[in-house]
Amino acid sequence: MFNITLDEVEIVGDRPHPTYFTWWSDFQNNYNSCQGGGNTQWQYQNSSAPKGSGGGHGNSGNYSGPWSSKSNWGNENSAKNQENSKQNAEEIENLTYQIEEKFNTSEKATIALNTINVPVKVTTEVIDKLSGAVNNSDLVNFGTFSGKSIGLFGVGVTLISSISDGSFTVGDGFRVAIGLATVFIPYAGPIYGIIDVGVLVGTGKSATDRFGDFMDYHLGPY
Amino acid sequence: MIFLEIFDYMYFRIAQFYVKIERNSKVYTSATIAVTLTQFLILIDIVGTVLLENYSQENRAIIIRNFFMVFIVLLAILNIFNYKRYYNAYDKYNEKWSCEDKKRRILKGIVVFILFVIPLMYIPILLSLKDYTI
Repeated sequence: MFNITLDEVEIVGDRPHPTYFTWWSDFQNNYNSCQGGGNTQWQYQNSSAPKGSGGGHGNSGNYSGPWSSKSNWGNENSAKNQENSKQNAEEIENLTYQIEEKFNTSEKATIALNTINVPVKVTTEVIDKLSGAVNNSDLVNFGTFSGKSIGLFGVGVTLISSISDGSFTVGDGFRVAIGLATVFIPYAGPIYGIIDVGVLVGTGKSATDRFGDFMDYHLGPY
Repeated sequence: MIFLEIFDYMYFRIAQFYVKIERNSKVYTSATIAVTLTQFLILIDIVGTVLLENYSQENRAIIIRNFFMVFIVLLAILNIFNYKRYYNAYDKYNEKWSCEDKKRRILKGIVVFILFVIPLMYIPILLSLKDYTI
């Protein structure tokens, strides 16, 4: 179960005790409150809302939080609060933009339901999107896949060559091991694969082949 | 297709290992390539056995030289097929297999390990058992 907590959102007023409400009625209360309807005495407060606005779209008449006109904070705190408010507003704008851009309707619903503790399943994809782990993911994906595919082709070509020669040398074993390492070792594997191809293009013989030949020369049958 | 189901399970088990490392969520490249490698090695083992048993080294070299690009293109097609097949598929498999009991999970893990290792070791073992250089 993955719970999302938005720092910008806090509950003010008296929330109904969960013992007396099912999750569905709880959800409905929340929904009504956010829509400005219903007769609940609690609501969500958006801390980035303008001073005295009451936050959210709820029943602002009941609001008595720090942004209300009833607050007796000093003027020196006011500038700091306004700065924080501006920063929070930027963060929320950024978050809203990211949610709009990155998530489809189903995922948005999942996030919303999780925010109010409704037990719905959150996929790894949603978690990764939320954590920002998928920035430039397509490019990284392609690079990693290409790098690892080089190891795959290395193993394939080595075994085909062995069948052609009719022998499997120590150097061949080393080439296969390097190919497997390229596929299975994270980060370093695909980077080595791309460097290997760079050496192949630049010099006409890949680094792995050079190592393999070296081992054949010293340990192999040739 | 039982074979595809086995490969799907293989992908799932390897991807489970990489899920914390890669975190790209769309496709777990190591798992996808491991499946491609296994499929290609099974094919190479069958073709290789036929070639090694029925042709001399000279003839094998000619055949493989002529069909080398076919093997490479086949490997590329398999790789792309698996990439497409397992794109965004981890969550689906996780839902399907994450709740299996421990004993069954260990047994299936051994099957996956054998399925990966035997095709990989087959050609080197075959070549070391008999002299195919003539």
